[in-house]
Amino acid sequence: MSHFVSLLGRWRRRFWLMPVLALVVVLLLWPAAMLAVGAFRTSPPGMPGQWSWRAFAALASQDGIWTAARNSAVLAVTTTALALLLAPAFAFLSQRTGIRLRRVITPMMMIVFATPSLFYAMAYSLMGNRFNGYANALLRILMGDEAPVFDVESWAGLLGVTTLRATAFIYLFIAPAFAALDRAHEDASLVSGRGKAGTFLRVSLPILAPAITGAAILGLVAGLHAFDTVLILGEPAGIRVLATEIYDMLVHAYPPAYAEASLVSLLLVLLVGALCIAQFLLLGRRGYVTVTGRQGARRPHDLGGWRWLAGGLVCVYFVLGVAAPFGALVYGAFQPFPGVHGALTWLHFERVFTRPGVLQAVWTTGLLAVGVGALAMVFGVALALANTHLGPRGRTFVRFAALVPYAMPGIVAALAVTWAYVSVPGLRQIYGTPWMLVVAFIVVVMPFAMQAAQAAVAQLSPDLAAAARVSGASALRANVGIVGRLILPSFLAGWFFVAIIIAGNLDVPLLLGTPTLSTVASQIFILQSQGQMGDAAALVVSSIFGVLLLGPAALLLRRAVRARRSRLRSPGTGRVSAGAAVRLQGELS
Amino acid sequence: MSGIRIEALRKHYGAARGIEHLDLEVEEGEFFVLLGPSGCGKTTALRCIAGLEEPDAGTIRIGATTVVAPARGVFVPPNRRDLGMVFQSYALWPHMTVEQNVGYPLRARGWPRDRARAAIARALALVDLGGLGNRYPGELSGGQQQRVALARAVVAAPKLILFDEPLSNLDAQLRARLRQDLRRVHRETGHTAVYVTHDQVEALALADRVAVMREGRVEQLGRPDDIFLSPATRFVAEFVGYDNLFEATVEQSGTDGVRVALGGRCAPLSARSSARLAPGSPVHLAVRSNRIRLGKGAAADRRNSLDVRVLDAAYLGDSYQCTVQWPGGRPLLAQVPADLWKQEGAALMGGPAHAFFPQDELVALPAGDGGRQ
Repeated sequence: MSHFVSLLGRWRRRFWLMPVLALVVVLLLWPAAMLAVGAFRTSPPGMPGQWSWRAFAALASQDGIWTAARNSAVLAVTTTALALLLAPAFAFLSQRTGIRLRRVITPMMMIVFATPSLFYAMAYSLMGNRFNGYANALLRILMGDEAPVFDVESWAGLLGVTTLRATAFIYLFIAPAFAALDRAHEDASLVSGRGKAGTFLRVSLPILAPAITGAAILGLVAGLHAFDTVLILGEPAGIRVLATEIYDMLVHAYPPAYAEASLVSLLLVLLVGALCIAQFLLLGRRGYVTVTGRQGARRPHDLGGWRWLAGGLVCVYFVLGVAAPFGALVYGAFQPFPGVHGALTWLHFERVFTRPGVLQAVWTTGLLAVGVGALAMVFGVALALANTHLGPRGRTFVRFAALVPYAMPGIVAALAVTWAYVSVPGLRQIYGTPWMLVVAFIVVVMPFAMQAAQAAVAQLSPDLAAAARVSGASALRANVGIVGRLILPSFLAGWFFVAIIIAGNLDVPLLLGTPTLSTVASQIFILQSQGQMGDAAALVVSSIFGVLLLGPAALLLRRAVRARRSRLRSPGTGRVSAGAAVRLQGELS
Repeated sequence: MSGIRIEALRKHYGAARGIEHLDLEVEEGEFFVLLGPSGCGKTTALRCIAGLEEPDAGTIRIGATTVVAPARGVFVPPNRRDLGMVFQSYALWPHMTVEQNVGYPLRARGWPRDRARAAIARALALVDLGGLGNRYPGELSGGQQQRVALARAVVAAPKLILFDEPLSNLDAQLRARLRQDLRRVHRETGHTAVYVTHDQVEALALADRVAVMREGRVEQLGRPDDIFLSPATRFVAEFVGYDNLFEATVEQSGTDGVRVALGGRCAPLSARSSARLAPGSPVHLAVRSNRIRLGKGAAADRRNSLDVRVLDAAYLGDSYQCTVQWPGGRPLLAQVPADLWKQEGAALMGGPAHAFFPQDELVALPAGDGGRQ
């Protein structure tokens, strides 16, 4: 009895957790559950139907699905493997050496990571088209008509472009570990008589192994998520993966094969989920602990003659990842015909913005990006804060719930949300409205929002809020006035990033949009698939320009927020590490 | 009325050990120190008093108010407990000036502005920080930051102030100064203080009473000199700096001491004991290295002495620390004042020597309570 009273009292005080946890269930778990249900229904969402195993038989008899599964695996494994060669090299160069170009590596990787894959696919399709690609045109100019022709709409092109992005992704994940690696470990090996290369192989790499393995798993997950790159660069060459196969079953098949699509999605989710759990188990405790070590006394490695090679590597990546694709997009947007060098023209811009639906799409995209971005970040922060107030079991629950959307490629998330909301009578009306996109986007960006929010909250010593509580502030006042205020810069950065993901996402609007409800991404895809490359490029360039305008605005806001603090020497690192120490101690004592 | 009464407190963190069963009483106006190694539950206990943790069972009363009683569903949140707290990490809010930091508890309590301003000035003066009110925490040194934290804790004149290892991030000199400040502020404001630390020197300097904690319960409770001079267990002895421990058997037990046999060719020794130890029971003898007196010549029939051979001597500045071998067991440490070493060092190193154990400094402790691993 008394146990019950105590439990009841405890829950009453944590009442604010209830709506947050309810949202977790409604937004993250319910769609996943309904996706599983959908695999066993004979009818589309919201229609009367029966339970059935039919989808299994139907799927087993399709040859295409096995090819697609194999292609998904090849794409994920190959790109991850290649990225695992490149990313640690870049991380080493940027964090552990003194080469001059090291400072450009991280910004470069951030640009590549933040640019939607749709834009990359577009850019490479502009450059590498067999007939009118700019790169091929350039080769012909340089080498005459005998020049080799590069076709980006092929396995090589698909793998190359995906590897480019996977490298950035993995780099950003492992670079902090490289930065935190204690040089003393390496020095100890050097004085023990091992050379630099041997030290790197036998000491540095094993210490970093947890971080690298974790990154590898995330790379595989991202590879399995690949959708728009495959649609644009793979489809013309007949390369299909599971994500595009699901899209086909839903959009091109008649009648739409909901059960089969759901079953494939479910299997994909289970596979990705297993990978996520593996990553979690692997990194759970160790990842960040192994690479403590003091900062500050960082003596960079001297590469000697190798530094030219290293600089060359950075330049090549910069050209392939930033200069060439962005250059091609801009060039293509101002050229009358792709592949032909003519007078610069605004023609495409005029045409694309007078197309019916485009301005509407720009509006929709802007509202969704800003609005859903804010919602997702608020939700993420609420979850991160809830995490600090939950017991171990609650924390595990939230952690797993947050993994669920991670396991869902965008196309699967869109399908799951369809099942979840169209099946509920009162909610059916939101199908075909922007609200459907809102819900699906929240699911899609939740992992990123959670990540950003958790990193921001984790940076704050819990003592800061505790100090406010013991000073007499209510929980709300402490969380808004102290925690909210202090994480504001990270919140804004996360919001910006999430907004870009939403604006660049193609899976969700393709599946959940209607002819009158589209986003910039779906408009770009439509133009591209109709062969209106110039118009598509103009829209991409306009989007990038829009984001660049938004970027400085966000940056200014962030700086304004920071100004007051960093006029002063911020107690930053000291505070953080003290906080970490305190947290650790709190867990121990 | 700001005494604290803790009864049967229990707090677990998942599988990790927290507090098993804690009973504690702190008198009003007292400076009470919880002393123990990391992981002993002292911080958890403090956070339970503050209301930052919810205990699983037991009760906590502050003054006449029951603030925690899970069995009855009672839990007063930290903001309604009228307390101040100083954190190890200072926990100053970086986006607020010193004045805003210190004034926060007053704003939270809804004080009128002019009264608050006066109180802030008083609190800053109390910690010698007058004139720094417009600075940001990032512009202050560690010691100054911790004094701001102290000012914030006292500004609203709470009856109870909690300290969570407030000095452990500071260097030795600053720590000594701040200790005096803490003591002075306590004297001037008259609050009840509960102070958590793992540093025995802090405990001795600050406390009216000390509770040594181990694995979530109180191992020994008493005045600082009780703890320092009469540790009740091997764990406490080791924790408060008894650096020599060796085994013996009780031969004869008296009212305030025991005679113990060391085995072998050693003569029996007299030792102090606070517990009644039955003859024949095994004990640990504890003695600080600076209380053993080394002398030239064999022990022979010298009182409470053992034959020793000096193996090594390390210079410590004002003394030499000698490693000495005695017949009964592992070598002991003994300190010899530097000036004495100048006269006798050569003789001690070369020839036979003896170690004298003043009876009051040799403490017999019941064996079998483990001690530190």
